[in-house]
Amino acid sequence: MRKLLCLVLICSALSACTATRENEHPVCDVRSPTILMAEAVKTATLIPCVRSLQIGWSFSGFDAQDGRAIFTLSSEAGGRDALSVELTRGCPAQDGSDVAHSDEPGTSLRTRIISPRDPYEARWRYTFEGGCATYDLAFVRGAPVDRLQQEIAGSISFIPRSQIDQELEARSDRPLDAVSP
Amino acid sequence: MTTQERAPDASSRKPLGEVAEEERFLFIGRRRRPLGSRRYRLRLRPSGWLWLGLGAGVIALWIWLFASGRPAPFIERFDGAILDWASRLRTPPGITIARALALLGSVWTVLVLRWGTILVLAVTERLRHLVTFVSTLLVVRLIALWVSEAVGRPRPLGIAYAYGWQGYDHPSRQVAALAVAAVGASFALVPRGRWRRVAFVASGVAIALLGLARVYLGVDHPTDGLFGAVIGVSWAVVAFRLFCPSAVFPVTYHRGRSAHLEIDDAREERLRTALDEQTGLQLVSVEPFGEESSGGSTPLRLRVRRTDGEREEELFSKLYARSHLRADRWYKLGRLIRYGALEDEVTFNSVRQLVEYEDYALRVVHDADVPSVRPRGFIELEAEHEYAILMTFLRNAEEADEDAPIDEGVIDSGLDVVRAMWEQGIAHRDIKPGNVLVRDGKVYLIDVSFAQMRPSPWRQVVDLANMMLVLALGTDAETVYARASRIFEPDEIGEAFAATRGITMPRQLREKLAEDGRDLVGAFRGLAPSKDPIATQRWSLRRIALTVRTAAIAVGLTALGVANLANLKSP
Repeated sequence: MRKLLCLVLICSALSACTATRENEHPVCDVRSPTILMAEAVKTATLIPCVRSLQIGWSFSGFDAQDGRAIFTLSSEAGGRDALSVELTRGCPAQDGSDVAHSDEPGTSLRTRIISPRDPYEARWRYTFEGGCATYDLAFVRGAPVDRLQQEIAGSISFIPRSQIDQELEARSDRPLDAVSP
Repeated sequence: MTTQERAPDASSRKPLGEVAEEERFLFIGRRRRPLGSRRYRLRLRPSGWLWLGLGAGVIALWIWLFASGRPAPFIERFDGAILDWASRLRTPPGITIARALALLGSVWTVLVLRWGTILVLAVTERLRHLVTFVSTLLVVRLIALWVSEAVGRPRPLGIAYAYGWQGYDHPSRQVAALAVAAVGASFALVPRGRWRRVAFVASGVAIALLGLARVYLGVDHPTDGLFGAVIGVSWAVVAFRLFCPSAVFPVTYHRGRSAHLEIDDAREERLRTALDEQTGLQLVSVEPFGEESSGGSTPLRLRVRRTDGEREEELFSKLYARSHLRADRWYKLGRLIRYGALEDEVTFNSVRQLVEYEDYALRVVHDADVPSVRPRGFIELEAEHEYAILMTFLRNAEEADEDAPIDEGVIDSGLDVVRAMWEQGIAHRDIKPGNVLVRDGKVYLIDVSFAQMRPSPWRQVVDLANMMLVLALGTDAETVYARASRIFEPDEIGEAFAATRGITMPRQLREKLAEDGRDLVGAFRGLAPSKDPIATQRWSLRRIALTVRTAAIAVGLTALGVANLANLKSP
């Protein structure tokens, strides 16, 4: 009986560990992390997420709270927490960044290079209706900057709030919330 | 009452057929298991079992409900219905009140409750309660964090939030943190009885108000708060019932030693049964006795009557439980770290060994004709958990620090006792005013639990110095030294006071010397031949390794506790 109980507890713990990892990975699907991010910034019409994780990249952190959500990725070539993506209600009006061509529909992009070489640091700000996604890039010395930037552009995308809303309504009859009073 | 005194001879034994069935064997109808005759029963009490069941139920529900990755539809519907109803009741004043109530789960409220309790427990030196409280807080915090990430339940959908939040929702970490801190503090700080019941009610009200406020504000589902409360309360209740039962570790604020067990009805009944079954004595009355001089056991005065007669007698008894065994281990570990292995201070592995050793020491001292009390065996109240050693009661004896007049006859008697122990190869190791009794001008040594056979010469002279100091407390150093010079060589006395340090004197003796105010140690050193001080610090690889290990564990646990229990981002 004790062995059976131990087995059940170990299996539960292992399955819970798997679930824990999934709940810290905001992939571009209607799952707990993206729902929580959408709840954190209720005005945001787009939610940043990971479309496909490139080889050599891994999830390293996730946190969401009222008004702000953030996730970080680590890279074998770029180092620990090489990229952090933060979702907030809006971007600062002027921060010395340059307007760039945005590869994401419905967004405008401004970029700023904080440290051009070794270690490379840059900030990309995607602005869209009701929100702002800030990508902070911080690579270790000697990292292949161009390749890593291409990998980031290919990995990170946005999931529309409306898609989350529709799927939740279909699933539980309860949509995402409106703006709080 | 020793076994020999009770054992009937074969000729007087009744045939089995004439013995009543219930008196034939103690174990009739039971299996003779190797654990002992009385298996220790888990004493959670009904409310403890209830909360254990609720906690287990919550874990089972988690496994069942959340196996699919999100709560079962009926949970969602139940929560949704209550949240919709609560949001319809919202009013601006209601939101203001709810926000104020939600502060009960704020980081600062929880931190004040946690660290206030830890501070009080540290100041009142209730280490066991402190460890249990901190461990319970840590476990509940880690469980709540882990489960909330594993379950990954988003905040309530379709509801406007009227309060801040962080992370996933289930279970409510704020409610769990308040529940475990409030109920744990009630157990750890409030004495059992009316005031603890009041504390439980206040905790329950606070937990319920916090849960309701967070639902009203739309940041928690109702089941989040409910499950958080159940996990927090059940861990606190079960942990304190298991590791700090009030009968063994009572919460008191009057002066006294925490080693003393409460003689409640249940313990008195166990004592009564054990006396009757194992010694044939009827318990007439029991009362605490001499607690102020005893730190390692619960001393009692028993009035007993033989079951086959009317004659009553008084016995002195010392009750030992697991708490005393652990205290003994910690005491010896502390001494080893602070001073090294001063003598062969081996820790005992069980309460039975502890009490067996004292019974053995009593018999050796008695056989050696050292004036002391007579051993009367020991009884088992609960196998491997609680024992009581019995000995004769010295009527009309007074402790050397009380009103007992110390004249030259008493001084000689006390010094003779030490001489007798030297000759018989015994060291008492705990000579202090409370253990030196005087009756009719004669000194008796009691409490031989620390006694050592074939001690080192160093340990023998320490006994001599302590006895001389006890006797000098009632007289003066010159008189005691003059009498001691008649029995001991001056060099032996010189060695005795060369060996005397704070560590070599029992705490009670140190306190009495401080109260007395005279520099008796200095006076004896001035009278005796001068000797180089004998160092008490002993270094060994074992001491260094043990010190490093203990320090590493203490630092690690402290860091873990502070990182988790002083986290300003999340309760």
